[in-house]
Amino acid sequence: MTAYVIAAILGVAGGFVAALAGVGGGILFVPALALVLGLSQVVAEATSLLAIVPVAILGTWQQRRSGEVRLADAAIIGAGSLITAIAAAYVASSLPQDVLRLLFAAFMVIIAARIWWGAERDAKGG
Amino acid sequence: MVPLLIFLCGYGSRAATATSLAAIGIIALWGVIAYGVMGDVNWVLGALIGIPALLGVVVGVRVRGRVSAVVISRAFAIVLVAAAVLLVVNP
Repeated sequence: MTAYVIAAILGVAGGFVAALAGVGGGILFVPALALVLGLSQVVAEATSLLAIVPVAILGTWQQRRSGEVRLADAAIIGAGSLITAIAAAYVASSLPQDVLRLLFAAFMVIIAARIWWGAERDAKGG
Repeated sequence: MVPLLIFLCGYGSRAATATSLAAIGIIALWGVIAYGVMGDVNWVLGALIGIPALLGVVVGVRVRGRVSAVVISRAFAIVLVAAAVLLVVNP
């Protein structure tokens, strides 16, 4: 029960920070699921994908009103990613957990660097 | 995906971000199905994070612009690096 309450709080906090910092939810949900709720790395990544789906749907629906979403193109990209997404899930599922954790941690540092230097550029309106 | 849409397809940055978000939803769905088949998805926790996250996103979008994006983004970048270190050293 405690884990469920923690998950709901993490969800609200993650969605809030993601919207403010302009990043996807996964970069927050994965470490939160692994570190706070103690899931294995692969289950954390898989579960975070499930959490991203409603966020992406709401975000798309909100932006659709401004006419900025090109749904046909998004559908083509989405359809084109079918094989690679399944292959990536299979690879991630077969990798040793510590290797997967290391790869994800490296990815987080790269995203952090992009956010750090991107923040100033965004503030200048670039 | 956003830079590719801008440079290869001539999208504006807003259209690129919005379209990539829609594509991410589809890609995440493929991932969920693939991981789900392998038994790696915790469905209850995923729903318990994803649905409350909607509330966080709605509030975050409203607050955006009223607070310093640079300060929040940088604080967030530091938290990400700290979490990355914890992921590696705390298996």
